Amino acid sequence: MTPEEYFVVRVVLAALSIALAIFSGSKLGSLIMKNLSRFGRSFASKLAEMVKYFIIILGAVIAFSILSLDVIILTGISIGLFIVVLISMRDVFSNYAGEIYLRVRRPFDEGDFIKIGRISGRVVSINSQDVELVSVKGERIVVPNQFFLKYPVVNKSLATATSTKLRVVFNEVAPEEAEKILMEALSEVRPELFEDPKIVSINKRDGKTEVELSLSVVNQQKMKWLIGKLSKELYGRGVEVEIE
Amino acid sequence: MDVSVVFPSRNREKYVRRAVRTAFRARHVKEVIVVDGGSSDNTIDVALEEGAKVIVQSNLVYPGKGVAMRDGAYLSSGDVVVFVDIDIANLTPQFIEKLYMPIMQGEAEFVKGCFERAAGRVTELVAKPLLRMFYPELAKFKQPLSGEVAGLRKLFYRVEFEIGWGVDVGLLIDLYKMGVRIVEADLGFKEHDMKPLHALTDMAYQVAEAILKRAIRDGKIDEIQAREYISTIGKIDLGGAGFV
Amino acid sequence: MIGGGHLAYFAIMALREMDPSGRIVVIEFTSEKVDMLKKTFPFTEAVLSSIEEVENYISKNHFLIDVLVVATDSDALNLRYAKHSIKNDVPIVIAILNNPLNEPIFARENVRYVINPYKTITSKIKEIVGKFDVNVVYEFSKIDGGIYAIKVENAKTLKRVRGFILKNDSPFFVLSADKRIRAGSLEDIQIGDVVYVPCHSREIKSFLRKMGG
Repeated sequence: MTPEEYFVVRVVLAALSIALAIFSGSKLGSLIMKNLSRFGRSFASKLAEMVKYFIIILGAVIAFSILSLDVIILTGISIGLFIVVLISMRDVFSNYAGEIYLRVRRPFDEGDFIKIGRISGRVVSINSQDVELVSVKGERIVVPNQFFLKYPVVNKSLATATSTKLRVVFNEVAPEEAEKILMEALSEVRPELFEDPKIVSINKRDGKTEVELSLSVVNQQKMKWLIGKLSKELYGRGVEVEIE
Repeated sequence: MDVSVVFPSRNREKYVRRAVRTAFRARHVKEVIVVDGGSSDNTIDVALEEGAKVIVQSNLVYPGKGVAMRDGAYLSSGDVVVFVDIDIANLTPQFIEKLYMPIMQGEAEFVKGCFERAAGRVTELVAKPLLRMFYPELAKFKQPLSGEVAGLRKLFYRVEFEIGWGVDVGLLIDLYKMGVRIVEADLGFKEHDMKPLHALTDMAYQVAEAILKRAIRDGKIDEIQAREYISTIGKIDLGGAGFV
Repeated sequence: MIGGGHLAYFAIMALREMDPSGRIVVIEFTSEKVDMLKKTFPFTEAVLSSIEEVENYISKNHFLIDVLVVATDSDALNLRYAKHSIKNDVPIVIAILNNPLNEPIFARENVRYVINPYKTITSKIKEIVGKFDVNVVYEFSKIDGGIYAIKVENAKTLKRVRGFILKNDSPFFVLSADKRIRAGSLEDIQIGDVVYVPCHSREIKSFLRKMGG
C-alpha cells in the first residue's frame, strides 16, 4: 500500500470512528432518557446529553489517534482543563450531585413542606442546581442542592397541617378575661383553621397578660392574613394587643 | 395575539406527527393540542414526542367531536383557537394560517373554513335548507358544517358545545346570535377521506337536531313541530332507494 | 370546589364530614346550578362565575385556599385549573377525573392528587369474580404504594408470596377460602388463600415481574 493509500484508509477509519461515536452516543442517550425519565425528564435529558457528548469526544480522540496526531499533548491539555474546571466549578458539580441524590432517593417531592436547618417552606421546584421553596410568609427561598447532601431534611408533608405558635399580649386585661375575649375572636377565624385552636399557656407579667396559642393551618400563607384578622377582631372587642 | 391549534383525533397515529409539526410551523402558533378520543394506537405518544399537549376527551362517546372541541378550547391558552382535522393529507402551515388571519387582522372574531370539493350531502340536503328556513342570514355560508374553524378563545367559553356532529352548525348559530363577526375563509383544496353514505344518516339527524333546538330556543318554531320534523329526518335513509 | 355536579356531591360531603366548621366555597357556571347547590348544600357558599374568572378568583384568594377540588365535567378544564392552583401555591389540589385515561396526563403535569372514581369498578369486579393474580385493592394518595391482594393459586405462587413477604418484611393478612380473616405466620398461608399485602408499588411491580406478569 502506498503512503497515500494508507493515509486515505486512516482518514476513512477516523471518520468511521467519529460516526460510530455519534451514533452510539445518540443511542445511549435515548436509552438513558427512556430508563431514567421516571426520575424527571429534564434531569434524564441532561444526563443523556452529558453521556452523548462524552462518547463523541472519546470518538474524536480515537480519530485523532488513528490519524497519528499527537494525542498525548491533547490528552494532557484536556485532563488539565478538566481538573481546572472541576476545581473552579466544584459547587456546580456538587449541586448536580445533589440533584442526582434528590431524584433517586426522593426525600421529598414538589408540593411537600420541608425543613432544612432553620429554613422551612413548600417545595415549588427541584432544579439541577437548587430547590425552590416558598416560605410561610410567601418568600421565595432558593436552596443549593449540595445542602441536601450535607444536612438532614425533615419532610412534614404527610402531616396535612402545620402548627404555628403565636403570642398575644394583652395590656391591662386579667388572664380570665383575656382568654374569654381571645376564644370569642378565634371563633371568627375558626373556619380557616385545620382544627380547634389551642391555648398553650397564659401568664401575667408586668401588668400584661401573655397568651401563647397554637394555630394549625394547611395553607401557611394564611398566617399573615389570620394575624391581621385576629387583631381586627380583638380591636373590635375593645382590647389593645400585640401579636407575635 | 397568539394561536392554539387543536386537533381532535382518534387512532390517527400515522397522521399526527406530520400534523403537529406542520401546525408548529404556522406563524404565531404558541401551542398545539391533540384531544384524543380514546385511541388504541400510539397517537398520544407520538403527539407528546412532537411537543403537543395532549388530553383525552372527558366523555368517550362516538361521535364525540363536540366534546373534543370543548376540551381543546378549555385547555388552550392562546388568544385564538383553531380547530383542524388531523388527517388532512395536504395540510400546510398556510392552510392553517388562512383560518386565523382574518382574526389577527381584526376583520372577524370567528372564521369558518371552506374548501374546494364536491358539495357535502348532509350540507346540501339538510343543513342549508334548514338554515335557509330559520337563519337565512347564515345560508350564505358555502360550508356551514365545516370543521375547520378559528375563533377568539373567550368566545368558546360562552357557548354550549353539542356533543356530536351538530357542534359545527351549533357554534355557527350561537356565535351569530351573540353578534360575533363571522367570515368564511377559502382554504383551497382539502384532501380528506369522506364518510361513506351509510354513516351520514346519524350525522344528518344530529345536524338537524342542533339547528331545530336553536330554532325552538329562538322562538322560530313550535317545539312539537320541531320534534315531528326531527323524527322524520331520523327515518330517512340517505343510502336507500330514491336518493342519489 | 370548582364544579358542583354528580361527582362533586361526594367530595363536598367528605369535606363537610372532615371539618364541619370549615368553609366550603363551590363555584359553578350557571345560575341554575348555583341555585341547586344552595338548596342541596346550604352549608356551602355557592358562587356563580364564568370560566375565565375562576383563574382570577384562585389568584386573588390563593392564600386562603387550603384544599382545591376541581370536579367539572371537563378534564381539560380541571387540568387547567389544577395547574393554575399549583402555580399559585395552593397546598392541596385534588382533581376528580371524568375519563380515567387522563390519569397519566394529570400525573405528567404534576397534579399530585388525582381521584379516578372508576378504579374501584375494576378491582371490585376482580374481587367478586375471584380470578386474578394480583388485584389493587387500595392505592395510597401520599406515597407510591397501596394494598394488594395476591391470589395463591398454586405451589409456585405460594413459594413466591412467602419469599416476597420475607424479603420486604411486609405485614400481611389472609382471607382464606373459608372466608376467615387471619393474620398469622407465613407457614399458615395455603393454596386458595388471598393474601393482602400493603407495600410500595415498586415492590409489587418487582413481584409481578418475577411472576411473569
